[in-house]
Amino acid sequence: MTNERQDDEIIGRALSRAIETIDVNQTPYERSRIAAAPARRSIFGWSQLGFAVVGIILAVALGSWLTRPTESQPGVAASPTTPPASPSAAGPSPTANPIVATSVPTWVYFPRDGLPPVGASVPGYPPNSSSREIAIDTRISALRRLGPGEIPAGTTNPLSSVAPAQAGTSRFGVSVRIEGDLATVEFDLSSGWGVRGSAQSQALLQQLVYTITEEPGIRRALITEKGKPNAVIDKLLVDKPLTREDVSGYTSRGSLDPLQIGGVSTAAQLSTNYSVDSLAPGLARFVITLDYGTSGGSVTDPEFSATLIPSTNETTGKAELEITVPNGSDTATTATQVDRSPLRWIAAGKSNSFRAQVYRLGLDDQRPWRAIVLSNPTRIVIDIGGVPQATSDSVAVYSPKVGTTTGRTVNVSGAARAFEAHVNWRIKDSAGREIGNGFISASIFGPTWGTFDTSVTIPANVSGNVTLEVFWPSPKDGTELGLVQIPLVVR
Amino acid sequence: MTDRWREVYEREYPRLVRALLAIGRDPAAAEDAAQEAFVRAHKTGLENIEKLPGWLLVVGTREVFRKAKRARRETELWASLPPRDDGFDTSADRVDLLAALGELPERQRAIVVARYYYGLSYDEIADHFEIKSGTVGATLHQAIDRLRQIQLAGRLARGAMR
Repeated sequence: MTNERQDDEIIGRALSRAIETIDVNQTPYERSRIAAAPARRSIFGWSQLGFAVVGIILAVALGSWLTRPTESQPGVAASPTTPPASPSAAGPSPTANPIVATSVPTWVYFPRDGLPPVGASVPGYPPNSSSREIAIDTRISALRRLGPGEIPAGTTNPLSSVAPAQAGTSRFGVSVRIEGDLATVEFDLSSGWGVRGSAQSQALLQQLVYTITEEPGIRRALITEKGKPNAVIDKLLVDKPLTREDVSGYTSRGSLDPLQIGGVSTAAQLSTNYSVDSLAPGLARFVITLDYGTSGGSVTDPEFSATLIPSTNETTGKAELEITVPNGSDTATTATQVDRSPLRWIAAGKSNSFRAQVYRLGLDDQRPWRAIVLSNPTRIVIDIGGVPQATSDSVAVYSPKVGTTTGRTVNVSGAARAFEAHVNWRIKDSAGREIGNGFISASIFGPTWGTFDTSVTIPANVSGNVTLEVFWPSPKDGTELGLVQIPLVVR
Repeated sequence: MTDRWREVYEREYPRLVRALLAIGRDPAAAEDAAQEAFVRAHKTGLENIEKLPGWLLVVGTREVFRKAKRARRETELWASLPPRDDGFDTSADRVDLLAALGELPERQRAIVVARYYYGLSYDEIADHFEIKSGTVGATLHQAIDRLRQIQLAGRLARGAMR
């Protein structure tokens, strides 16, 4: 399936849901025009025909799973002469609604060790595309049926180890209830969750919460076991609704305060590019390059604003980051579907009310983000996420990487939004004793983020496991803010 | 027999009206066309209709377009839809998408609704709407692409006005 077709399916499904929300007059059957019409005799009972349709659909769905979808899948051939199939095999929707026999790209999540999960599109088989409850069921079922070779590299699929409720069926006994932004998903388990230990349990919970809340309008997921108000995944008690931010692994969520940078707004031609997972795992970087032409030269503090907005977008994503560059102009005014976690899409357009270029980034969740400015050429760099251990709401350390083995001289670089750009570091040994400290001045101070890049030296008598801590002191009372702790091994 | 029709009616009627409203943008015409489609299905007989939901959709769609040509009423446009909101919320996005759908040519509207709301296959669409099956995919892609552009323009315009 091409990306283009996936995009089309996403919009198509959003449209389907939009149509489903239209309020219509339901003329009761008694007042319908056919109620008064004379009755006719039918050769086949409707219910029998219904089961026949369901039987064929299951067969076609199985066939298309084996062959994978093509551009033009044969339609569902329902004929009254087909022997009826057992209604018990019909899944959660035993009615004879037309069913999409081809697979539909279904967005689900896969956990990664120590990192936020990544989303990916896998084949799903919705029995009826118009119900949100069934859409959630379909996502869970899609994960359940994936084989080990069908998941993204570097990820796991803990849901595949959960035993289905009834032997011989590929579906879970899952029932989904939606109230407002909360989806309650009840599992009917035959033999437990199939995961052991805290890491696996957390990974399964993360996978479930992200996958369930992918449904537009759903922010919170409550997972329960049949007959209980809660769920116990190995030893992990889940007894309240959880958002993506609750399970993402980040200690803080991204700031919702608008970042307004006053600076220079000389007319500039803008161009952009992005990367995901290349600078650090879990990190999306969006770069806007400002070209001032021959007149402007290079500007070190361009005017722009950036705001994180919790989103209820109908297509994809749970948050949007909006970046506005006054007096900027980008020839591209398009939407790009990226679909690489955490970056789902990029939209570029002109602001109507003032001369400005607006970019919107669709994101998986409200993970910590930052904006820094680089010069020669002038660039606005928006970084979203990163390794949770190295990322807080006001400090992000890009080097050294979490868990690396290092010599005595360690290059420490990253970004911070600290009072007067004053950033502290210290190193603790495996017993938690402080064995070295110092401070760094980041590049810019003020409301924006500054970068730092320095070398710190670890005392000669220390080796083995140490922890590098980076934080900044509160100007009020010296409280350590934005603390990140990066485990390292010293040779 | 009556109960069978009641069952079919109660299951199929609401979504048929929604689909026809999305396609034709006129609540009264959508209801009228949906009723007309059921009357014709009733006359034809369930045993003679292979795939009833798609059949109803096609008959209803033709009815909507026929009526729309006769009297193009634009005044009650979207009367039954939630009011347009300038905030960033779900209903605004939904209305955007539905409004964008309304800007597509009639035939594209019908095919998009048949594919994504009714879940009909390419071949079924080709069959029901009497078009070449090879052009269904291209028509759909063209329509969705246009929807995307219109919807994005709306979203950006709203975002800039906040």
